[in-house]
Amino acid sequence: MLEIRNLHVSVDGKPILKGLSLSIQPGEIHAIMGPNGAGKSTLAAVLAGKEGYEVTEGEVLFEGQDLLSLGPEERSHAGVFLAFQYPVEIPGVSMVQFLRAALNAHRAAKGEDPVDTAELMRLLREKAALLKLDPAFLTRSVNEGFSGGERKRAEIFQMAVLNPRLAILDETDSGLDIDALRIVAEAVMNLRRPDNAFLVITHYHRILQYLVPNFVHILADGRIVRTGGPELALELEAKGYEPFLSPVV
Amino acid sequence: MSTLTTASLSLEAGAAHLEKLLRQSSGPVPASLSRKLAAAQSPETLQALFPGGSLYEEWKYTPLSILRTPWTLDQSVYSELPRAGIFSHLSFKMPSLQTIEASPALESFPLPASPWEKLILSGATTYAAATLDRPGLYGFSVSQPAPYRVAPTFYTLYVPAGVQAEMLLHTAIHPEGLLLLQLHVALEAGARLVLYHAAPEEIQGNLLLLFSASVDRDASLSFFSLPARYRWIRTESRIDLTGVGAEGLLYGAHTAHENEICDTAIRVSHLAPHTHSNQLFRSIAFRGGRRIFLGRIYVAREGQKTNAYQSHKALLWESGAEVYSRPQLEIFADDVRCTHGVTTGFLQGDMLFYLRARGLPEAIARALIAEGFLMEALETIPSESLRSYARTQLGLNP
Repeated sequence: MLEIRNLHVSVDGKPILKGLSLSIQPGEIHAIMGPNGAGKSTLAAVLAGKEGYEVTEGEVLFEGQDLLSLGPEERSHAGVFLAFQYPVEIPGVSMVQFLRAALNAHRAAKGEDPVDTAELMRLLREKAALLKLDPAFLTRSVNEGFSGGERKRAEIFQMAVLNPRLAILDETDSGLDIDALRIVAEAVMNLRRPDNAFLVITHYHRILQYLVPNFVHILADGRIVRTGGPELALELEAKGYEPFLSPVV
Repeated sequence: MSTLTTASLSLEAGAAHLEKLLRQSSGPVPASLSRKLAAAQSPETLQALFPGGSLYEEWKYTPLSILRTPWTLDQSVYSELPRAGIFSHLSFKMPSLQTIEASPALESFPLPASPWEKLILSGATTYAAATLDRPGLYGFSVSQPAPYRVAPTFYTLYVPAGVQAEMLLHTAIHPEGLLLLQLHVALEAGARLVLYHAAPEEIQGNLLLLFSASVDRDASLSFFSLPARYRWIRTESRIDLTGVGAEGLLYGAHTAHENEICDTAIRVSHLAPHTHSNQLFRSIAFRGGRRIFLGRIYVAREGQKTNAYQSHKALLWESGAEVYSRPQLEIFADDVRCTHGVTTGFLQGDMLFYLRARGLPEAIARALIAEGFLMEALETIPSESLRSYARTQLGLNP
């Protein structure tokens, strides 16, 4: 599904990713863990198409298509979703209005008609219930006045509505209390299918107790320095990053 | 009604020229108006207005170069509202125009305070008045359809006690034309007027709208400045809340695109106890556009228990856009509640990326951000059809 080959990325001339390679197949959950400044969020931003990141070498294929040649909206239409670490406020735009526009853009890209209002509201209420969100939240402006936890839940709610092939969760667990973390993780597991995949970027093991990954990768200094199974996250929890930062394994 | 024709009106020619225009008047000036005109002719004040010599700080952000055009004086055209687009959904009564002397509104008309008012009064080609004697929706359209011509025009409206009316003021101006429009409204006790100012979808020329109102006891005035595109517009509103419990509400959602200047200057005066006012404006300035907002709340010593609010939020859409905002409070009473908030910010790239990352094409994402930003002002428009019209004017309707 996703093939990242020898990816080098610079920001303002400073190399951040230095030859990252990663392969994700349908049905898999991958976790990327790493110390601050390792390049985790840079990877998420580059995959989603954010400006300001210069790819100096390497390639990224999504379902055989050159992902880097696509604009952010085209990547979204192709099935890539980024759950933001810091979701942005859109004052005056309700969640319903926003997701109607997003769904219609996805439909237009497929040559389909705009979503019917009744169908839209049914879908939104169903997914809001999955995240245990009060339906009143649908009429609130996107992320405006939301608590940190609400914003993260809103991200997963949007993911549930847009139903992507590949979801990148950029530190979705940060800022969540224990109950909210469980709700979010259970919602993600509920959305898991044989034909979709998740890339979970996190600092902590705790979300991986719910979202059991097929692979855990340690990202340090712009490269994946170690790959293992779920037990690697436990090992990290016990030993910290220090033992993994030297040689590439 | 007095008519002046085919004389050259150039501000730079000075007040003496205006006097000459008045002498050329082909019709008699109504007696009660002549007193105002006498007060209007003040050469030294007019002189102060000329570019480079303005003593009026309120004009410091608004380029006056447009006024250097050698304008030819012409009549404005008072006409029926166009029966197209949104207007076809609304059913208007047309107010019956009378000579200006017949309007009680003239009695409440304040003496000209600015050179502009003096200019319009002294050079006006049309003096007319109407009484909105029954509740209902009224329409009123003023056109200046010719290029390189200026039409100074003076109207008053009178809303008798207890009447609840809505009025759509529609101005249509040739892209190379200038309309100088002074409108005065007097509301008697308990009267209520909702006034909308609208314009055609096409880019309009130049408009100086001087709007003044006196609002008596328990009367309410709402003024919605609906979005439209002008090369140059200055809307000056002077609202006097003269009676106990009077209310003055002013709202607007505006944009200033390239080579457009949109200027709003407001003075709400709380001259009696328990009066209420609100100024709520949202603006977006695009590259090469300039938006100016000067809002003043004045509370006289008699204005105890005043409740006054003012908010102008502006968004600089891209580099090269300009916004000048200045909130002002002048309070001489000690038991009042006045709040004001003025903010100007840049469109955040993160906001755009967030929406695009959800699949919205950039143009739709930008439109959604703009709509959201202006929403608070758009939501104040009580008429659903005019709200939709406003969205269309802003390019927000699909």
